[in-house]
Formats: sequence, structure tokens, C-alpha cells
Amino acid sequence: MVGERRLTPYKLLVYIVLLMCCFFVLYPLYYMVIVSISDGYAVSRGEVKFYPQGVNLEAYKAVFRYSTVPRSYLNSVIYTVMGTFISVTMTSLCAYPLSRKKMFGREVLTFFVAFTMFFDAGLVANYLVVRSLHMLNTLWAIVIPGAVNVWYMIIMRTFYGSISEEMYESAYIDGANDLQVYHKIVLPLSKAVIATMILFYAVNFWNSYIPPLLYLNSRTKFPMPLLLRNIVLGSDNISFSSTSVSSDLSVLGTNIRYAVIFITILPILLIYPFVQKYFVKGIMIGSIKG
Amino acid sequence: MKNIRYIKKRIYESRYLYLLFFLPCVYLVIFKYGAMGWLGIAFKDFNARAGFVQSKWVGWSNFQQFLHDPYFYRILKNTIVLNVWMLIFFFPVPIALALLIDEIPHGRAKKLVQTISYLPYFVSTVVVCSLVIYLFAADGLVNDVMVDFGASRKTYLMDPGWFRPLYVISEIWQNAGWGSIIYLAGLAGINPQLYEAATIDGASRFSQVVHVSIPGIAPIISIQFLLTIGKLLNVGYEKILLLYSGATYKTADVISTYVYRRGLIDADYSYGAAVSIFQAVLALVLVVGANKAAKKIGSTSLW
Amino acid sequence: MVLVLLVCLGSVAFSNGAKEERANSQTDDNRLITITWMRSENPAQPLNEENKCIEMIEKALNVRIDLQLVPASDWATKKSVILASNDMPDVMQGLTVDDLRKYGATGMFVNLLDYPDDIRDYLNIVQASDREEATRNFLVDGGMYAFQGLEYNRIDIASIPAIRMDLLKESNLSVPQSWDELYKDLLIIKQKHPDMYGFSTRNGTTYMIGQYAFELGSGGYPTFSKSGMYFEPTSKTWVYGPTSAGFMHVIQFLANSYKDKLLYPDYATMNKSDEFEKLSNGTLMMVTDNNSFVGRVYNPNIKGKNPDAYFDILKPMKNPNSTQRALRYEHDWTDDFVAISADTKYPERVVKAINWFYTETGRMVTNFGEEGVDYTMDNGTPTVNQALIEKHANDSDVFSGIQGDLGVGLLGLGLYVDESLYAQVSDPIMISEGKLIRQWTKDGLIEYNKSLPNFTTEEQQRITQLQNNIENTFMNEIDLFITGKTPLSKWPDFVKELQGQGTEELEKLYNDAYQRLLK
Repeated sequence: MVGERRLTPYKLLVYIVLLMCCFFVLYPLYYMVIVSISDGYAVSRGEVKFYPQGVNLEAYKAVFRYSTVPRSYLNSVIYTVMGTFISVTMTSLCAYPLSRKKMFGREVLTFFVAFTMFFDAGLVANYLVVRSLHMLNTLWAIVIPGAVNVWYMIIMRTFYGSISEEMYESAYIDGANDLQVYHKIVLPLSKAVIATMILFYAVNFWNSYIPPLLYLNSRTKFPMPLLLRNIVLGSDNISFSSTSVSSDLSVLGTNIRYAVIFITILPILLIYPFVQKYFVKGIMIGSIKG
Repeated sequence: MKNIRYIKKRIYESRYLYLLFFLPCVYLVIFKYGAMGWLGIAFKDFNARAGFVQSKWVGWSNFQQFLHDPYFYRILKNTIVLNVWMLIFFFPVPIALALLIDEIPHGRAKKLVQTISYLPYFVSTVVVCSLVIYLFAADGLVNDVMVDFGASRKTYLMDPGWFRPLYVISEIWQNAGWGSIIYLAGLAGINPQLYEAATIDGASRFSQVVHVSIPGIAPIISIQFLLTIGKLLNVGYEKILLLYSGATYKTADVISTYVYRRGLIDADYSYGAAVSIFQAVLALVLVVGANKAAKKIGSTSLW
Repeated sequence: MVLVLLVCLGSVAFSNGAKEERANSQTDDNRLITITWMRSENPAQPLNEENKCIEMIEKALNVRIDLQLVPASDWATKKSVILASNDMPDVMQGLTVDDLRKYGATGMFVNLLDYPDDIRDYLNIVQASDREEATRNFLVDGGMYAFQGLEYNRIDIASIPAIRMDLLKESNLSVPQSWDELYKDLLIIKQKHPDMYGFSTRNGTTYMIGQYAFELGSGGYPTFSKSGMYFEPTSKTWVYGPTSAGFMHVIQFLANSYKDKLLYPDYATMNKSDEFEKLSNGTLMMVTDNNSFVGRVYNPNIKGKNPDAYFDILKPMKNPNSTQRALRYEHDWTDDFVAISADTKYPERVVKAINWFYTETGRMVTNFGEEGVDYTMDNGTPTVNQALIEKHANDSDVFSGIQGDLGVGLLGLGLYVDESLYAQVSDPIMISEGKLIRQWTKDGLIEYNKSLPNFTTEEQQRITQLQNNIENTFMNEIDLFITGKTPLSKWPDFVKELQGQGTEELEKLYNDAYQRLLK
């Protein structure tokens, strides 16, 4: 950011608006934090509004009391790391060629790819595909079916598209082929985009629960979201089955649900700082269309 | 003759690009196009034990059932109108947010604000809806504040006119921050020299935003816009299910909630597939049209 | 492009049909077999894939259960996908009546009646007089396609009104004997406590109607049903509640309550935790719902704030028809059916094994564990060992903690459910209320909810269509009547509108099917 440190009226307006947004965002989050550390009874009576009451960590302890928590956490990490690596690679391999004008048939192939965004065959179809590939109850069922998210791919292609042609031309003159160009020029320049994709895919994998639900049978392979969703929703049985008296019987406190949210957010808060440093201006110097 | 040679030459030149593209292509064929064939059950009367091949063929009857449903126009209208609202009110917010955050000088404050802005993305939809209901209840915070300002108590949650605003507000709270990340990444890619040149020319900061920042992320904005149009026929049911009630069906009932309710009485995969195809075809038509328009006005297009 | 699609169509179709044909072999020898068993896991009772119950089953039957647990929050999704893709495990527990009817006749499940000698114990129980009609109702095309989760001994529960007794006492009011008296009492309490509301609901408008209509002399949307059809015991026929004559009282009750500010203004979107919160902090005066929440939730919570406050249940009160009645949940569970896959390798062994769950030995094991170690028989009553109780004293629910540890009970592998354990570890209010409810049921004041009759495919399709239209029309207007936006004088016109959507045809379809059952 060009060093303008004077406080102009425009800047002041900007800061005020941002402050209001922060409050708008923060109050509900603050509310959830204080509920999660408050006494269960006070919470269920709705007495906790602006400050916590009967502060304790019982809610968090209750979540961790599930014996499978450490294992699920580990599973989540494995799925996320592997899945993100595979996804980012595949997405990049798909996005780069489509961003080059010289690729013959580019428009048709892009349509071919984008078309898949519209026709989502549904859970049963995906299940059948995974089953016929004998991937059920394995790690691969989690990391491969979601490998390329077409929306993200198109975004990535847009970023790649902003790399100027002159860069390519000078590389060709030096005798490089497209593979080398990809490796030596494009990848280093797209740090911001790759960082963004890593963030998006990592969060997706971290939170995804439908593939694990459908494709995994052993509890030892479950990731965190299944466990956490069950805690938050399982006792409410929001799935509206016709006569669910049996699951109707249990009650889990609101404070536990909110504790669950923070347990989920925590890892993301840890990743984001690493990603943020690529959002510094000038990272793509010299690569922009004039 | 010349054309074939030309084509061959172009293909040869792109060979490495095809190589790179190969793996994702295989993936797409297997997992996306392979699964797509399943949508054919829309033309059948699906029987799980008989399987895809042996289920009875019924032609267009599932589609007719859907199109002739007495509520068809209402749910179609509600779906599209809700998405148009989102396009008008939600779509600009992440962009504006990114531009605002970009004004903060680098450092801890900027990181802090960024982090705060995207935290709501991680709050599950169920909890967000609980919060909305809690805040807008007849005895909730919003009503209390409005009464202090002299307005009367309203039942926001049972008023069809308030459903769309509440939906959009909860979406903004939950997703605007996360949505701004992509624009921030784009802003990071703008050449700083452009800003320097503008300053030298005497442009104010605001003017720089308008003439440098926004054009700099124009491609991303354009693509996001086109992709959003592609989703015009789709609204997820989870959030609406939690926020609506019989009183608000008039504006709140969309295609997905209607099909979901129907699914309760008879989990009908054939019908669901027919509806999916209908939505997909309409969306495709819209995007193809929008894409052509984008090309005409010279902004970035999908293909 | 089209070519590509056609190829893919073929490959998918191929993959769907290519399920391994497992030979159905009968084995007379009793060697160890392993079966996959899928069930949901309720977060209140976490299970382990290897637990005491499974060990004991293996010892007794030489059948090893490979437990596949699914989070209860997403059980419906998983179940639906598994069944639709024809990929069942050997045993699936947790199917509903709808699943049974939809998939039973397709040949996906083993027909238990093919093995009558192996299910003697089960048949003896379900064909006894008190269960005979329900059992016949669950047959699909004459076949019995699943075992049902049955109740052996349960603390009686019902969905009946519970009111803040201390508030009545405070205004020197006696326990109301009629709905008119109740209404007056609520108004009096409201005068004293203007910030309080009378009642609300936790699952939307139709749930609320289901909670109150039957007691008020009419009916509709019983328990969790999304349909206005209900079984009227006085005429022994199925009736569409909202168009019946008596429903006028119901709508009047609700509309008046809203007008007099007894019905909570945002009742339609209130969810379970909201309602519980409002009951626990003294905002609501009464609730008509599963009475087990009184002792387990409302009372413990509210006592923290106000030690004199407490809820207690009301005996069914006189309604405008001068009768007293209330509804309780079906006798046994209708969402806990256990079906065996028709592709399982040793169907006879599996059928025999599940039948064992309903014998006395099986029942004790799957509800209490090991005699001597986990429990002792005290004059014929199973008593849990103190050590176990202490081990789980810090769990949010001692009962669930013990059962989850062993893998037994309703939320574990118990199919013939015995909840005597509950009496030992839980709130005495639940026990006393249970006894009252049992007495009231005996006295004929409380009816069991009836399950839907069995329809043919054509009937079911027509019913779905009719119900779709009728319910949509109903949902559009009902809240307008309740909130007073539409005056009650327009109710007869609304009834005509509903009838125009086919409510009479709907009633006929139900009653024809029901008559078939009775024959």
C-alpha cells in the first residue's frame, strides 16, 4: 500500500464503516463464546446475554470426553492435508492449460468442464461410482471424488489469465516448452492464487461431512465434522423423520453446541496467518497486463 | 486441406498443455460425466432393487408432474426472486468489503479485521438460524431496540414480506467475509506502479479505488457474476427450512424446500432427478446467454 | 459430446447392476459367522464398535457383529442412499414404517415368515392380542420384512399437558378439570404475570395442532405426522381433522390464545431449545409434549432460579364434547425396525440370532449386560451394580452412560427394550408420572396412537398427490387464522376449499385400507 498516512475524510468514513461491520460480526460470535463457557442451567434459562455466568469449561470437557475425539482429529488432519494437496494440484493442472490462448479447442474444453457444474447427479449416483471403483471405506473415497471444484478452477484460470503474454514469449525465445514455462514461471508467480486455493480447499475438506458419512463405515476413520454434527444436531433430529420418539429423548445443552463451533474454527485460525502473507501487494509484479 | 494442416499444427503446439490437462480430464469423465448418466432415472420409475437398467421407463411423466404442479409457478418465482435479491444485495458486499479492508495499512490491524470478517463463515447454518430467530423474535433484541425508537413490535419471522430480507441479512453475515478473500487476493495482484502513477497524476485515494482497484479485479468480478447467474435456479434448502413456516410459504417456499417436503411422504428419486434436470437446463440457458453478453461488452467470459 | 454421455450412461447402469451375487447357503453347523450391522449413534449415548453386549452375543450365538455406526444427525441421509443404491449391510437397524413399505416388497429384505420355526419367540410376542393388529398392519404383501423394536418394560410416557403448579397455587386455583377452566386459569396467571405466555410449540404449527387437537375432541397431525389424517376412536374411522366438525373448537382455542397473548407470538419458528429455554426460565406457563422432559429438563432447570417452581402433568381434561382423552405414542417403536438383507450369506443363522434378542436370556443381555457383574436380580427386579452407577455418575445422563458403556438398551443393541434401569437412576417424578399415565391408559383416558394403514402402490401415489395439495393449502392459511389476520367467520369457507382439494377422497382411501386390515 502506497504510504499515505494522512487521515482523509474518505479514510475516516472507511474506518467507521469497518468498525460497524466488525461489531455486526462480533456480537453474535461474542455471544456464542460466553454461552460456551457459562453454566448450563443459566444458559438454558436464557440468562446469558452480555457476560458469561458461572464460568466453566464443562461444555468443552463434555465434547472431549468422547473417546474418539483424538482419533477423529487426526483423521481430519490427514484427509485435509492429502485432499488439499491433490485438489490444488489437479485444479492447477486443469486451470493453467485453459488459461492459455494458444491451447487449441480451449473454448470447447472449458465448456466441457463448466458443464459439469450444472448437472449434479446426486448422492446416490456418486455413491454408486465410488462403490464400483472399490473405494468404499478407504481414504481415497474422501480425497478423490471432490478433487476438482469447477468454480475454484475457473477462478484460478482467471488469475492465470492475467499473466501477460510477453512473459511467455520471452520464455519461448529462450527455448522453453510449455511444461517448463508452467514449472518455472507460472507457479512462482501464482503464489497468491495457490495460497487462496489451499485455504479454500483446506476449509472445504476440514468441514466436509457428506463424503465421510456416505463412504466410510468404520468409526475409526470418521473425521471431526461427523462427530461434531452429531453433537450439535443429533439430539434435535432435524432430519424430520416421521415418528422419531427414540431420538427425541435426549437433550444436549446449547453451551455444548457453541463450544463445538469454536473447536471447529480453531485450526482455521491457525492456517490463515500463513496464507495471509501472500496477499501482500506486489507479489505478482511484472506479470500484469499493462 | 489447409485447414486440416492448420488444426494439426495447433494441436501439436498445444501438446504439453494437453498433457497437463489429461489427469483432470480423466477425473471429470469418471466422476462427473460418469455419475451424470444416473440422471436418466428422471425418465424412469426408480426401483432400488431392480436398479437403473430394469426400472420401468416412464418418459416425460415425472417432468409433467412437476411442471403441472399447482405450486410450480410460485416455487419457481420464489427461487429466482430470492436469488435476484442475493445478486443485488449480497453480491456487491464482499467486493466492497475487500476494497474497504484494502485501505487499512498492512499490519496487525488489517489481519485482525480480515480474520474477524470471515469468522462467521464457520458458524454452522443451524446456529446462524437460531441466532436470527433469537434476535428477531417478538421479544428479541431487534424488537426491543425498535420499540425504544418508537416503532411497534413486529413478528418478523411470520411475515412473508420480511423473509427475503432476513435471509439476505443472514447470508451477508455468514458469507460476505469469506467471499471477500478472493477479491483481496485479486487486489494483491494489482501492480503498485499503477497506484503510484495515479498519485503522481494527483488522483485522490477514492478516485484511485475507482480507476485502478476496481478495473484491476474486474475479471474476477465478471467471472463470479457469471457463475452466480449459473446458480440462479438453485437455492439450498437447509437454511430456508430453518427460517420458514407456513405463514411465510408465500415468499419462502422454493424448489428445493418443496421437493424436500415431498420427499418426506415418498422419497422419490425419479421426481428429484427430473427437477434437477429442469433446473440445470434453465441455468445452462441463462449462463450461455450471459456469457455471450459478457463477450459482447468485452469483459471476461467463461468460455 | 453425445457419444461421451451415452458411454457414461452405460457405465453407470453397469455399475449399478454389478452387485456380487452372494450364494444363499444354509448352514446347519454352528460355526462362527460375522455379520455387518448398521445402526445410528445418538450423541447422548456414544457406543463403541466393540462392547460387552457384542461379546456376549458372540459367546451365546457364535455370531460376531461388525457394528457400523452412523451419526444420528445424518442417519436419514445415509439410510436413504444405502437403500436406494441397493447396498445394504447384513442387518440394518433403524428403519421406519415407510422404509419397510417402500422397500419391503422389492425383495431387498428377508421375509421372516419364510422361517417361521426360527422366530417362534418373536412371533409369540407380536401375534399376541395386544400387538396383533399392529403387526398385521406392518406386513407388506403378506410378508413380514423386519423385526420391530418392542417395548418390554418402559416408564409410560405420553404427550400431555404439564403446567406450573406453583403458579396455580399462588392464585389459589385448583387443578383444572376442563379445558374451559384451564383457559380461565391461564388468563388469571397472565394478569398476575403479564410478561409470561401460556404455551408455545417446538416443531411448527402442525406439531402444535397435533399436541392440542386430540385432547380438545378433534384431531390431526398426531405426534410427528405431517398429515391432518388421524384415527378417531369414537367412530373407529380415519378422519381428516381440519375439515371435521369438532375442529372448530381447536382453531377457536388457538386463535383465542393468540389474541389473549397466551400463545407465544413467534410459535411457528420456535425450535426445541428455544421452547425448553422459555419453559426453564419462567416465560411459559404450560407445555403439551413428551412428559419425560418435565422431570429431566424443565424442573431441574427452573429450580435453579426459583426453588418453588415446578411443572406437573394434568389428567386429561373435559373438552367441549364433554369427553376426556389424550394421545400417547405408539406402543412400540415405528422407527426402529431391523431388516435383514436378502443377499446375506446365512439368512437362517441371522434370523435365528435376532430372534434370540426377544427371548428372556437375550432380553436380559441386551438390556442389562452380564448378571452378577453388571447387575443383580433383586426379587425379580434387575438392579444395576453400584460400581457401574458410580463410574458414570459424572456423565450428563447416568442411564445413557451405563447403557452406552455396555452397548445395551434402546440406543444400543436392545430390541426388546426393558427400561427398569431407568427407575433406579432417574428422577422420581418420572416414575410417579409414569404410574399415573399407566393408570389413565387403563381407565381409557389415554389412547395409543395408531400407525397408518398399509396402502397399495396406486393408493399410495394418489394419497401422496392429494396430501401434497391439501397440506400446501392448509399451511398457507392456517397461521392466518390463528394469528387473527383472517377472521374465524371465514373458517367454513376454508373447510370447503380443503374439501375441494379432495379430503373426502383421502378419508375414503384411508378407511378402505384400514377395513382391509381388519378383515
